[in-house]
Amino acid sequence: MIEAIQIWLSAALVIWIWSFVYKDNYLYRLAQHIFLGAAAGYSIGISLDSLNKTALVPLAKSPTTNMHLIIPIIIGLLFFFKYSRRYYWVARYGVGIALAVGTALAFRTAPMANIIRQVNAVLLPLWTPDPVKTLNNWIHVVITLSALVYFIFTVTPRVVEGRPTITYRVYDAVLRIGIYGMMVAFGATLANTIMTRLAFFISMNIQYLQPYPLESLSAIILVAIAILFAMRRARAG
Amino acid sequence: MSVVWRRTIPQLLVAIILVVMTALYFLYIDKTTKATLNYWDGLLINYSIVIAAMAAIVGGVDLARYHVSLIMKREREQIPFSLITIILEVVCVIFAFYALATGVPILTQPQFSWIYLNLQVPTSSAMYSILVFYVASAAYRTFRARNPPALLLLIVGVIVMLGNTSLGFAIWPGFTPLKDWIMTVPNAAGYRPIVIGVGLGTIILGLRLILRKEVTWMGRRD
Amino acid sequence: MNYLPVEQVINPAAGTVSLAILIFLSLSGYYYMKLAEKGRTFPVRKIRAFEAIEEAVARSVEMGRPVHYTIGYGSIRTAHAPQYTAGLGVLTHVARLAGKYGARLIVTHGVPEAIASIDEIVRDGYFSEGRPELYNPVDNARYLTDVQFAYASSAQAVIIRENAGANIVIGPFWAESLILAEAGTMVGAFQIGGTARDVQIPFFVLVCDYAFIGEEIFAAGAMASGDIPTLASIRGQDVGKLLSIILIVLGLILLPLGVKLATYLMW
Repeated sequence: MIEAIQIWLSAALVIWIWSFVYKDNYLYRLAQHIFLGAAAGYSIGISLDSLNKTALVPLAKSPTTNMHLIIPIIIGLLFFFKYSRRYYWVARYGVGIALAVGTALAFRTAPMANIIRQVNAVLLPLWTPDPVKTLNNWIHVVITLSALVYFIFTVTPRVVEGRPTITYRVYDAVLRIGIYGMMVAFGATLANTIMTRLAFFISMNIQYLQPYPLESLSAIILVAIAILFAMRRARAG
Repeated sequence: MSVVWRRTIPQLLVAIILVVMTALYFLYIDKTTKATLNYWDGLLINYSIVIAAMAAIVGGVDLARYHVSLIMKREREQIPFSLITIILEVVCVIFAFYALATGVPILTQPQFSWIYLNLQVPTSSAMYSILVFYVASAAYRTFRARNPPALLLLIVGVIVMLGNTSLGFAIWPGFTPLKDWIMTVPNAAGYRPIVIGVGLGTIILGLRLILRKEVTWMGRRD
Repeated sequence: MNYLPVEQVINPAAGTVSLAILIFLSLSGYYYMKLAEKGRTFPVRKIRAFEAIEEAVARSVEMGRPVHYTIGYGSIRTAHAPQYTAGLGVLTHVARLAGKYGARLIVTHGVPEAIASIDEIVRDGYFSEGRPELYNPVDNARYLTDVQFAYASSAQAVIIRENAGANIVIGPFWAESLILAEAGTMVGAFQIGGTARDVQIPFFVLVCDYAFIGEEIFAAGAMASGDIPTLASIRGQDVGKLLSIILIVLGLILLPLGVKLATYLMW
């Protein structure tokens, strides 16, 4: 019995979520609120677990050496001050520490990961015995440099009335190469993302819907009624 | 309370943590010193984990509070939905506490994991795959819009997709090598400046936090 | 007195050149901020997506529809913190515009640490423009959840059910980027999107009316502050780009001479 409910519920939730693509309706709203409640509870559960593992268990094991773990717990509790009209600012301490740690993680590794490794990857030989390779390396370098120019915000040639200067024309051409180079890159990523999503979409059907045609069909009929109802209401204003 | 407690100390705290964590990362001296530095670094990260966990709990309370307020407003249509959200949330939390009290790992607690596997996983997967519909409609609109850069994006997208499938190969065998070329040359080159830029943006934002010039995270200006 | 050699003071895994670059960029950023404090101004290239924000808010008011804003979901204690901060920066601008034009602003998000900040930013926007009566904490700032698709499913529902006139999404986004943008399209909202998460940029470029590409969200965050020294710090970012260009050109010139700059940079 429980298993039958489980199967029907999973199939129905999948179909009801998808129904949003056509029109918002009561069954999507139901699935959405079930999801929200379950996720919020899950998130609290996982947080309690992490709190337990990182702070409470070590504190219980050796209270004297781990006494300091009380500090983040107290700072975390300060978040509740956001509800206070007078002491709203107390919540800032928790926000500040979380933000500082997060920023520090990115800040200290940025020069190596975002600059040096990227620069190194562009240092390709521009004259090789293989003309195709030479051309590819040139394209690589030109796109990278042009797109870098695109991101320069505070040094741009002045726009003049009438005929544009040569500097401006060169700048404009470089900018275009940069933009179009990035668009090609975006297109490639887009295609790969679509492919993975499509594969996932198919596997979803195989897992939740195809083996259970009756369950799926009943969920579809229900959602069709919900959509019709939503359309009628929309028409009625 | 004075402005020092309200603004200056939180800002200084951010600046100090940023500088200290950067120093902990770059300094070495010798093996034992590095181990100590790593310990301090790990400690700060652990603190942030505890703080984030507390924040997520406050978040859960905030969500429940929002839905209670909707129920109090007596919006007839919304009441059953808000009730479902609150009840499910509370039920999950009760099972989570039960798991903690009995020492069972939370994801193996039968009821908690039942809710997770049967309510959250299918909806989550459905949301992830809903993108298939969205991508199709987005692509259709771009073809009609005729905005040259976006159109180029789309044409490249189609070529790469054809290059990835046997259908593409059947139409024209050249799609596969063309796709490989796009992936290794323009794709790699186009993203590099973006990655560099993001790194630079991060560094300068960090600098502004250290100099106490970046204050938006504090909310109101007093 | 004995000094420790550099290679012993600096962690080789972290890189001495990295530290040098970090210090150099910080100093140049600091230098330009100081110059700005003394009254120097720098021209800043217009970012169309940023300019469009005011139009988006004003249009929504004209149509009698709310403005939806989101910074995404996740935790601010991760390395994505700078992107959340940039999102908060632009939110300050949007909140003030909402106050100025009398727009109803709805911020949805799934960043638990930022709940307090977002509430306060929205409040400040309305109060600073003399419209405190428009501020409704429960309605204006809504924390959903930090679980990715639960956040996305609720955020898209908010956009549709509230019939958002403008949909502004700035922050780090994952697979939910297109969900948020498409929801805006369904109700015909004026859309502005931006992220520095490279894989998601294409979706915003494709769907939004205006898109911030990568680093532009950081520049927008600085522009939103309205503070001249903060704005001047963008020039520090540009110094970094010039440095990268110089290093690339230098490395390419040295390569045929048998000198591998890449090895030196990894020091």
